[in-house]
Amino acid sequence: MAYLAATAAAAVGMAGRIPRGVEAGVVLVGVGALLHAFAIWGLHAEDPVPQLTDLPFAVSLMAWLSVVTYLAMLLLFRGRGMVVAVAPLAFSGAIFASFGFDVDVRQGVDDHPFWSHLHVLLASAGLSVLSLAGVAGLLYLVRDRQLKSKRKSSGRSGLPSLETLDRVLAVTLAFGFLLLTAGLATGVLWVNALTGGFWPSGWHANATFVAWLTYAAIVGVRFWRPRSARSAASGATAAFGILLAAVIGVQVLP
Amino acid sequence: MKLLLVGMSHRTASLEVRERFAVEDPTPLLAKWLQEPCIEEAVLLSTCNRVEVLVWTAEPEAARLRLRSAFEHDIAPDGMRSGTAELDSALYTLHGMAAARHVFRVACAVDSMVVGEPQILGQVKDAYRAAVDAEACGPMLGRLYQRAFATAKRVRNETRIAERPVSVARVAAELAQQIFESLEDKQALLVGAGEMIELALETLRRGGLATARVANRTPARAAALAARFEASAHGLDELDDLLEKSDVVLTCIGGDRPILTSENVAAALRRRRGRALFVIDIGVPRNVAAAVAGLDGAYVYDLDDLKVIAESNVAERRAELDLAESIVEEEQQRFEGWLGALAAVPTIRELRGRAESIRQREIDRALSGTSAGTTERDRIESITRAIVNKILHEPTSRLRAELEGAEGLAHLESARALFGLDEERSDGARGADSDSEEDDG
Repeated sequence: MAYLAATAAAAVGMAGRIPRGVEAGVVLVGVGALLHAFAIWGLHAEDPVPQLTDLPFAVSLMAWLSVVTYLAMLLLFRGRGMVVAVAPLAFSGAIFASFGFDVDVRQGVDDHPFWSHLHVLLASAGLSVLSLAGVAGLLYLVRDRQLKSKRKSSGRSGLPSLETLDRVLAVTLAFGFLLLTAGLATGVLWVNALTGGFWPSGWHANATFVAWLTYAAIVGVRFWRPRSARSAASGATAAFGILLAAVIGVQVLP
Repeated sequence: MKLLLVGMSHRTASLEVRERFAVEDPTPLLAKWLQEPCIEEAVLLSTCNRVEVLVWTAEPEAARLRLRSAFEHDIAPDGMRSGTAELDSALYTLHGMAAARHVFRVACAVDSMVVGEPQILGQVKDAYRAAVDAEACGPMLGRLYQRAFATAKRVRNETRIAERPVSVARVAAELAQQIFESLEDKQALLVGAGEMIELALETLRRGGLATARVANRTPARAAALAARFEASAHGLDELDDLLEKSDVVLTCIGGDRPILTSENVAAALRRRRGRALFVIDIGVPRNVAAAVAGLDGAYVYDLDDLKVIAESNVAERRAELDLAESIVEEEQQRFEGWLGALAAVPTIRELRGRAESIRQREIDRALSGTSAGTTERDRIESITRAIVNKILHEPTSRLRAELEGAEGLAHLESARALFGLDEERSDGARGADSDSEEDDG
């Protein structure tokens, strides 16, 4: 509920150009993260204790990590306005987790708990950070459009500046890609421990690999051949969609 | 005699149209228009946002037609003439007190694109000085402009319009903060060395801008401005190199052709490796080619774009604006009163003339056939002149004062009836008529 309240406060603040609304959104999302942390900790009292490899738990963890990473980034960047997208993202993650989808991803978990947990932890962290890259990319495109259209609101939008969004994008792309790569590598090691092979068949692995390739291309363009911040922003937004579909979509959809 | 104003502004014409009519030197145009019998006095104001000609004329319709033609043939350069329909939709005409009121509103920055902006008063003063130097501004327009300057001063002192001065430069600085996290590590390039550039530089410096460079056709002027703001001065030949280093580019320089083309901005953006470039073009005609706005990573704002953003300021400062309008109204009435008081001059002259002729006639009658010498006659002349002056002083002063009020003309009519001045005139006219009848006969 705190995430929902944060979403509402940020949206009102942004629409009404009330800076305090955005600030309230940041505070509420912080409160939400604190409550969320207690909730995750409280899961250990349940019987049986939910595993990190359970999809709802992993999604809940991703949502929480996204918020914590966002709050940590506020120490480095003037990105308060990002709360308008971070809060609903966290709320969606928490709601998704609360439905407790019955998805069987526990095959081989009990046999190799180290690799399976490390894989899920790194992949979740990567997805969380890359979700912020997706948010920064999306907001960059909105901001770019606002400034190019030269509307009245261009001068007073509550969104962060283009430069801030580009910096957040660069940092989250770099760290998110590293975590995703580590998640992919530990996944390969887990599969190797299970089957002796290096690549499992199935949509999850293939779609994740496509997403990883997309991110590799975006990171390459962003850091080695920078031409346009807007193309990196578009790429990060699209790649996050692919990653989301790869990690969650293919497991939830029939 | 009447005031007449013909012009176009940001309210009636787009920047594209306005830039065709920008006038750099009003002197030859004023000299040309003063040759016209229908134009007695003239002032030409040409700024980024308006081109207006104010004249004092005895033939308003003839003057209006002449000024309409002046916009088409004298002001617009060859090959850039506007179509008749386009020009007619852009031009407005104001007569009499409406024209005076408009001049006051312009001087007070109430009619400005960015309400309350501080530059316009200086521009109006420059236009007035140019007209005075060209001997185009006489007592009527001179008085009007002095009143306008006084009104602007009152508006600045008595309202809060000037308390939070909003200028194009300020809007630009606000926009820069939507693109960049901070100006503290940013570099700006200012092209031009005029008042707008100076103000922009001051505003950006106040906003914490790290590095500033001034480029101008005349490097000496750039150097003079740069020295005051700890900036470096450059010539326009260094523009390509400077563009690559700059995050904010502000241009306001004369010239018919854009100085920033899509080719040199695109090349600079490539060398900038994706870093955004914020370009503010406040030049009229525009200094930046329209195609630059379409480049990825370039955010270009011209005067009309800034206008859209600045308009939101008007709503916020409505109360101050109402107060400013009431001051304008008050000052307009004072000017109207002064004009009305001018109508008293012929009446007072007639009154004094009549009193003087009575005095002379009575002295001649009294002294005829007496042996009064020159000394006595001089004493009598002196005494009677003093008596006449003392008697007439009060009514003429009151007449002047009353004419500055709303019912001034009614007082004038009463005075003329009281002293029988119109009767005397009609007697004279009748006399003249009978004389002419006699002549005809």
